[in-house]
Amino acid sequence: MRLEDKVAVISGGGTGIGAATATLFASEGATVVVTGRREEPLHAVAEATGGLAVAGDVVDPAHAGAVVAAAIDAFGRLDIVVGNAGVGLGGSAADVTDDDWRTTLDVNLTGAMRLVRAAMPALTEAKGSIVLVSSISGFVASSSSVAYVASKAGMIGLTKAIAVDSGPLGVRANALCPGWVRTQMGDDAMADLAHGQESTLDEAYARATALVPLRRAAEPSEVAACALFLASDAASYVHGTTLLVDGGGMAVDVASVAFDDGWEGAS
Amino acid sequence: MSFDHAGTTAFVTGGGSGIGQAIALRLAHEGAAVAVADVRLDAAEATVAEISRDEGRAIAIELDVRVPAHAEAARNAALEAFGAVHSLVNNAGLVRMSALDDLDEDEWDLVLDTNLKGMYVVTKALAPAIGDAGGGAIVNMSTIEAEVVVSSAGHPQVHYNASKGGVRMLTKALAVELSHRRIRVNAVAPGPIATSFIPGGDLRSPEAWAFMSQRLLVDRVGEPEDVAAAVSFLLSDEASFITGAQLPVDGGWLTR
Repeated sequence: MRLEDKVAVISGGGTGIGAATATLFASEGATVVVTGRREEPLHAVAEATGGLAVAGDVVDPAHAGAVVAAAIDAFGRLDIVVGNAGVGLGGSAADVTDDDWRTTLDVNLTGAMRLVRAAMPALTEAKGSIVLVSSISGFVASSSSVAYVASKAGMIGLTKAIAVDSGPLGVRANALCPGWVRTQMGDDAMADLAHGQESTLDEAYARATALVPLRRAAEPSEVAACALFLASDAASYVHGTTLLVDGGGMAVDVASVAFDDGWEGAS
Repeated sequence: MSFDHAGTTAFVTGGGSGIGQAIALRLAHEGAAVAVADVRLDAAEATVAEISRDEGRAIAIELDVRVPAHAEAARNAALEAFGAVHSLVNNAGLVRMSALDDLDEDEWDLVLDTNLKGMYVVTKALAPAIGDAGGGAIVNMSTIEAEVVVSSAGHPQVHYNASKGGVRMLTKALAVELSHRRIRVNAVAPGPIATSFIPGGDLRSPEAWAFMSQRLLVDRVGEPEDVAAAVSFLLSDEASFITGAQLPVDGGWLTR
C-alpha cells in the first residue's frame, strides 16, 4: 500500500489513462475522486475503486472548485491532483475551426490550470503532488493536430510554471508525456488510420508504433504506474520536469529506423 | 514507496560509495541480489557488509570500468554467484575541475574514460547476459550538467560536461539498439546530491546552500536515496514503457 491515507483527484477519470490511474491509486490505498463528463463510466470507476465520482465539464469555470470542494467535504484533505482530462480534436493550420481550437485548449490546458489553481490551498496544506498528463505531442508535432499539439506543449510550460510557484510551498509538480496508449482516444485515432485499408485495430496500432523502439503502444496501466511514481514519495526530489513514457519514440529519428539492420518492420 | 526486484540480479558500478551505494542498498532491500562493483574493493565490501546485515544478497567485485577485461571478469563473477543478471546501473564516475588552459590530456582522458567509455565497456560486457536472462533494464548516471553548464563559482569542467553530454546520447542510442534484446535503457540526471563526489566540496555547507538555494525549487539538497528511488523505479517493471528517457532528480534545478 504505497498511497495509504492519500486523497487523489483524477480528472478524466472515467476512461483510459485516468481510469487506470484511479484503479491503481485505489489499489495502493488512496481514496480517489474521479471527474469527467460522462456519468456512466465515471460511476463505474467510482464504484470499483470505492471512490467518489464528480461529474461535470472541465470547460465549466465552476467545475474545478466544485470538484475540490467535494473532495475536501468527503475526505477532509487533498494530496494528489492528476490533471488528465483531454480531447484530441483534429484540424490543420489551414482549416482548424475556432470551436475545435477553443475546446481543445479549454479542456487540455485551461482545465488543467483551473484544477491545479483550485486545489493549490489544499495541496499546500498536505505538501502534495501534481501530475499533469501531457504527451510527446508537447515536443513533436503530427499532421492536422495544431490545437492538440499546442495544448500539450502548453501543458509542459504550465507544469514548469506551476513548479516554480509551488515548489517553495512544498508541492511538487511534474508532467507525464505518453506516446500512443491503448485507450478510447487511441482507438479512435487508429480507426481513422485504418479507415479504407480494411485493417484491424491491432494492425493500425502496429503500424503507428512500427518505428517506436518497443514496437507497441502502451497499456493505460503502464502510464498509470508512472503517475504513481511521480505522485509518490519515491519522486520526492523530482520536480518541475517531464517524464517520457513513449517506448523510446523520442530517442529515435523515426524516419531512419527502417534502415536499421535489427528492424523487423511493421509486417 | 518501494518497487519489486525480487528474483532479479542487479549489477551496480561505483557501488562502494555515495549514490551507487544507496542504489545497491535500495535494490537489495527490495529483493534483488546485487553485484557491487567498485574500483575500490574495500568500499564495495563495505556496501556488501551493510546489505548482509539487512539479510540481503550481494557480492563485492573490484572493477575499473575503463578496462574491458575487468568488466568481463566482473560479469562472470556476477553470473557465477547469482546465475543471471537482469539490471545494470552504470553509476561509476568522477569529476575534476580545471580551466581549459590548465587541463592536460591525462585529466581529460581520465574523466572521459571513466564516465563515458566506462559505460560502453561495462554495457558491452553485460548486455548479452541481460539479453540471455530474457531482457531487463539499464540505468546510466547522468547529471543536470548533461543539459546545462553549472557555473559553480569558477570551477570549469569541460571534460565532465562533455562526458555527461555523451552519456545523454549514449543512453538514447543504447535504448534504440538494445530494444531488440528487450533491454530498456534510461538515464537519471541528479542535481546537487549530498555525497563526497565533489573533491573538497560540502554541499551541506552554508556557502554551498547560499548558491544552490537560488536555483533549487525544493527546499533541500538532494540525498543519495532520492536518486536511488528513481533508479529503482526505472529498473522495475513499473517503468515497462519507458526507454531512452532521462529523468532529472534535481529538486527543480532545470525547471527555470
